[in-house]
Amino acid sequence: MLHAKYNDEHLNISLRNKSFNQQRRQILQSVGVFFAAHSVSLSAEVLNQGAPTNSEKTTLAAFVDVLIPKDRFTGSATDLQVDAQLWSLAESSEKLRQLLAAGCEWLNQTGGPPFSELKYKQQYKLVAWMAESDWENVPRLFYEIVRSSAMRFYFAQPAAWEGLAIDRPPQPLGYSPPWH
Amino acid sequence: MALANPDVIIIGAGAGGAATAWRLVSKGLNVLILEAGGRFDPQADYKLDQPDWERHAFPEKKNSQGAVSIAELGPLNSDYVDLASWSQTRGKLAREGKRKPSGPGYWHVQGVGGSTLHYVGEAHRLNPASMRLQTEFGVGYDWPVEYAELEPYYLEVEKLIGVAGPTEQGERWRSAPFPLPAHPLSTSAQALVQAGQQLGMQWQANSRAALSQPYDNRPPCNYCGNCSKGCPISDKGSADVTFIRHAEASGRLTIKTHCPVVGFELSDNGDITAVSFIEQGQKQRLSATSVVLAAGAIQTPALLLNASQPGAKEGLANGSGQVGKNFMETLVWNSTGIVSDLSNTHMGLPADAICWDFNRPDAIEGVVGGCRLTSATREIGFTGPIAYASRAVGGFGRKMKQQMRQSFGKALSVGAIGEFLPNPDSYVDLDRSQKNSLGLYSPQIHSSLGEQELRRLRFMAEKSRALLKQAGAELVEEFTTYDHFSATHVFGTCRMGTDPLKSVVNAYGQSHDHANLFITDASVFPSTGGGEAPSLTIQALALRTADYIVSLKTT
Repeated sequence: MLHAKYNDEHLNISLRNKSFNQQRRQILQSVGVFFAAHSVSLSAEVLNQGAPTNSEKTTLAAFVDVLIPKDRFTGSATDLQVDAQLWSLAESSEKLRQLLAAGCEWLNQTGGPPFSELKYKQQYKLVAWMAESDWENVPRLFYEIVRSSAMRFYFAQPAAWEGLAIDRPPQPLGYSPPWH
Repeated sequence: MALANPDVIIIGAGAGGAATAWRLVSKGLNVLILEAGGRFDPQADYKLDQPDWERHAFPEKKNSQGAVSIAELGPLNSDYVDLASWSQTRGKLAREGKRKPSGPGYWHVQGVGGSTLHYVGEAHRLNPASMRLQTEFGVGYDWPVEYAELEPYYLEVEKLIGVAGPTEQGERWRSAPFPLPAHPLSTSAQALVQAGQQLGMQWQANSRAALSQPYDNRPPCNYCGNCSKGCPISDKGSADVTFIRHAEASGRLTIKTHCPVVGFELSDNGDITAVSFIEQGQKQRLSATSVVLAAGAIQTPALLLNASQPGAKEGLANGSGQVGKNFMETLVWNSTGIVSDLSNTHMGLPADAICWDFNRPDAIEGVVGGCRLTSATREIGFTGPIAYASRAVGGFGRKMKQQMRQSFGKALSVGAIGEFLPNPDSYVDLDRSQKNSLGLYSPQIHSSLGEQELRRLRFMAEKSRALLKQAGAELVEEFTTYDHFSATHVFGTCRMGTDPLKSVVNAYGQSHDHANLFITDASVFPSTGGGEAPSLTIQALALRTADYIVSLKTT
């Protein structure tokens, strides 16, 4: 009675309206907390970045798909436009934009082919190393911030919920007992 | 009503201000509320019907946050490193070796309804023993009011907002049952009841300002589990849909929103003769017979300290020098684990079960001041997949996705809140480095944990961990105010008492210095209690103060 019934279009609307600005702000606040807590030095080459290059787009897409790959239940991060949402978010934060640039640059300077052209096992090993690396350096900071943001974008979509014990938002129906 | 000449001006439309207004208009007085924030629309503002609801915190709107700063919180006490916050995904949450604010640190809402808009809605009476800390236990301060005097007011508040709970409340004796039956227990609450029984603890349904049946033209709770993001169906007993709704229906209440108060005028005899405020960029002033300050334990002392003037050089109501002193915060412990046998713990009412066993001031050996334990899974946000992926399930790749499916709906959290004793290093003063946009100095919070608080926290941690272990949980996150300042309940900065040299207001919330100035928020609390949620006591005290104001007008 109080709410429009949920449908997929609802998400698209919410992304366009002002509530999205608040969500962006909240995600960017969490990015800001990371930067405040961990001093990281970025090289001059990654400052003053504009729109992402094709190389950056390809690299970030490959990276988030290692974080969240496709499996038999649900699609990959890029299937759900997580990479595009990250680039959109970076338009609101120079710091995030710089970190994405630095992270992509680092991923492609490991001495071999670009990250996106590595075999999955090689990509996985590299990301696993990043996840355990020093908090004060770009690889770990990039991993943590991109992972955190990617999870927020990915799991905010019903297409990511297959296999989880949830199939709709909490309202308007709520959850009637019993709950076993 | 004649707006230019209200009987009473109330500053703040939160728990205390709303209850005061309702009582005063019920007695036939005309009331004006000056509210710094605006109104929230439950259906439009709370986004729980959207698939990305987890990414929406309680909404920030124009003027919904008061200006406040937090002073350096100091280094962590290395004797208590076992209390550090951590999560499965992020490791240690405070790596800098010093205590830091969590988010804004002081979690509050300015607006019609105040912080009841984002509260979970626990409806607790204070343990009578916690009101006699000095006399019985030699610490802190006594309340100048006894539980027996508050009991009928508690009943009235519970009836108005529609509290659901079990009649048996131990030391919090009741002269009548709650108006509504207790809510059913969630799967997570049932797990804690069972684990508690095995450990010799008694758990019971929590008393909750959420409707278990239709009541007062409001629908029953549908157990979505997200009270703190705002209740879109209005079954939660926040002040806007209870006290304010009824008070406005009387026709004797006017609320001016987005009207922050900036000053007070005094007569030679010390009475408040006018209140000045900003309305649409213009400074206005209004007078009333009585003025009630109900802006919360941070902004209330700030307004008083900002109002220093001839006749009140140290600020209004501050003849004792106690305004801003005795700041008491929320002492919090949360432990969360994954229990493979559980399911659907994201469903049900938050904080639906409680254990009062350690609530008395002498319940914890070697420490004065108790605590309570609650079922906290939904209260701390394990209500959707983003929370699990961000806090409980680490790593990445297909293994992460598989673990998400194995873990979702199985989080079990124990929350503990404990007594906070006043100490000289915890207080609220003014940040005099610069004035804010209103031309006032903003409040600055100073916080320090005493040895008693740290020892109490350790007890809370041990009990929480023991419960989770008994329930078969694998720990994934612990959050504590040992290394974070994270206060929702704040108290004590305008303490009530009988001695004008040692307290700010008397037992009726009346300023010792200004006969027509009253305070009806948690700043008047002499003690915090052993973890009880304060809103019910704020509102019971507010009704009592309102009755006193009416009696003064009558006589």
